[in-house]
Amino acid sequence: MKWSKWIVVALRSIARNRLRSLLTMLGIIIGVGSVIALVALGEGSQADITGNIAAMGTNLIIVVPESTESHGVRGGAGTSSSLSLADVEVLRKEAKAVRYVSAEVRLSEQVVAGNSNWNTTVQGVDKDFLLIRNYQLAKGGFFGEREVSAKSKVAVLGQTVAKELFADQDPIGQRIRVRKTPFQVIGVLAEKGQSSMGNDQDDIILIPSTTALYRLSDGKTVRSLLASAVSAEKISEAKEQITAELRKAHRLRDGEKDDFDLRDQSEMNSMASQVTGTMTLLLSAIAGVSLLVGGIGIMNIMLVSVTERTREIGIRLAVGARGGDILCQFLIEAVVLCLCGGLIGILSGLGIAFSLGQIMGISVSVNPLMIVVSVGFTLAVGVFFGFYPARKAANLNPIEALRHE
Amino acid sequence: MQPIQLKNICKTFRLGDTKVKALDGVCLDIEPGDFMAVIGASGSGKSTLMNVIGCLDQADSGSYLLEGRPVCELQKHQLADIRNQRIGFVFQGFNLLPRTTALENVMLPLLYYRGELPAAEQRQRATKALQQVGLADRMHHEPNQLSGGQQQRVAIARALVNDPAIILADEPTGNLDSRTTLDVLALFQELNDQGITIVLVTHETDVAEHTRRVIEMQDGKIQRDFKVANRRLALKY
Repeated sequence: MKWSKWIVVALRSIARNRLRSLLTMLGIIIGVGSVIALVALGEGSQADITGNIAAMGTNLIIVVPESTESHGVRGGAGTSSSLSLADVEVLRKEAKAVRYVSAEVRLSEQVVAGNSNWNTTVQGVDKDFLLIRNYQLAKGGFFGEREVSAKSKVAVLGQTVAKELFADQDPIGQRIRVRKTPFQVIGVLAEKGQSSMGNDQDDIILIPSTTALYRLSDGKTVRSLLASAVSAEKISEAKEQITAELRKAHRLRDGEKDDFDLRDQSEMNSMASQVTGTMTLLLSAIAGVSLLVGGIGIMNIMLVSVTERTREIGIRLAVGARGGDILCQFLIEAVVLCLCGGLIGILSGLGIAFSLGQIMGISVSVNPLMIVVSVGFTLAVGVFFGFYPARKAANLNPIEALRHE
Repeated sequence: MQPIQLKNICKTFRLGDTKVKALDGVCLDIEPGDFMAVIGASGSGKSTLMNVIGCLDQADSGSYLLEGRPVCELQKHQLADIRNQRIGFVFQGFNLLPRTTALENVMLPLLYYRGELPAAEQRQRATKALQQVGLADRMHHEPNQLSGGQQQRVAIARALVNDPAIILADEPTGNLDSRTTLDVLALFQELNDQGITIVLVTHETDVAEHTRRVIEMQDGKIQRDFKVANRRLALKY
């Protein structure tokens, strides 16, 4: 007998019992829906985090000083002041796999402009900092080599600082004071938003590294060097060159420990994806359990339906249905129910994912494989949990089935 | 057409430790075109006889020839095919599928027909069967929109649709009032006059008086087998 015929029979039977069919599907709808929604949100936030890390800079390598050690007492990472502005020059000239280098001198300062003041991070950097860290200028310009070597008192404001200090006024050309030193605002950065760690990347003032180091600081503490490799593939090569050049510049003998430490984004990436991967796995496991429960729900209702429809099965057997026909009918009914539930589940899961993503500000990434897998899974659930009730129906004795009240 | 022949049919049911002989050496020939009533007290074996003739059940011993085929030797699925193509059932409780139109109910046996039967022809056959029972105008009604008598006529149309060798009716008037009983009996007589073989199980003697032949069952045996002398004609109201 033709399959199409059975599908029609199954569809009619489902349509005849709309409420029961809907309730049966509910388990599958919730199961599939939650799988799709959770995985879409999980993968979306994973993509968000990777995107954020990438936004920190292009092929970024961070050089930090090694911890201090004196008489066996060790400070934390970056406590020694082994890095200097000279290192920037060395790397710029010698490290071929490095495109841009910038020193980073970080100070936390109270900044005053007219009547308003604001505490923010004042960062002394070099001319290529914007390119390394993927900042854009919204207004004005940035300082160049000349301003850096002249220790010019110029500043570029982040969006947050610009708003806090100048509100609606145009900050360009205005004066601000950092620790009694007056600076002229020459530019404003475009908004960058929060970093993956949650801090405001716009709450920042950029000034030349030399100015920061010699006018505002002790002239020694370069917090870190930022370097940008020429390409993603060249990151490890760049790291080797940086290590070699810095060892040479710091006059370290063979066997002596590096007095600096290198970090790049791949480490951050792998750490972040490990965390979100665990999350996604956990969420999928929860969703998988709800799918299983949905499947058992289908079996439950199908079993009840066999009992409830015993007389119908009797009639069908009496007019000449073979056991196999009844088996097919019930099996296809279960599969069709599961598939319909699966489709509704996918649609509602996507709907939930997109609306939750909107509300919580997470991006949503739909993996087509996930949809294929969940459709396949609901099919399997339909066959697996439909088979037992279907066989039970097929093996009914027609006489007893007809007598069933 | 060949007659239906039952020889020495025995059927025993086990109820706990006791064995009940539902059929005890039944021999019966049913000629094509006959209209036979099976009467008897409950437990006399008339329902079991019906089930055996209707291929719903198989005898323990004896032989049963339906149009020359030895039914006792057939497999379960072959019995299903015989029920599908050669036998029409009419039940006391109508046994129509709920929430399904009369037409679709009548088409149900055709759904399980193993040959090629285009949808258009299925529909045509079902429509013809409904016309035969006088329900052409109720084709698209569902059972709960039909009266008892009408539902039973839909059931009769369903029994007719496969052009069966025999129609088996188990207490077909048991759930009907006297007026619709006569309606249904008139329909049976009409169909019988067209040459359709009918076996009707009843415990009401005045229903049996509308048939041509009566057999009376007792303790799994045929007690009496006689022609109805003055057949009553049921006139349609």
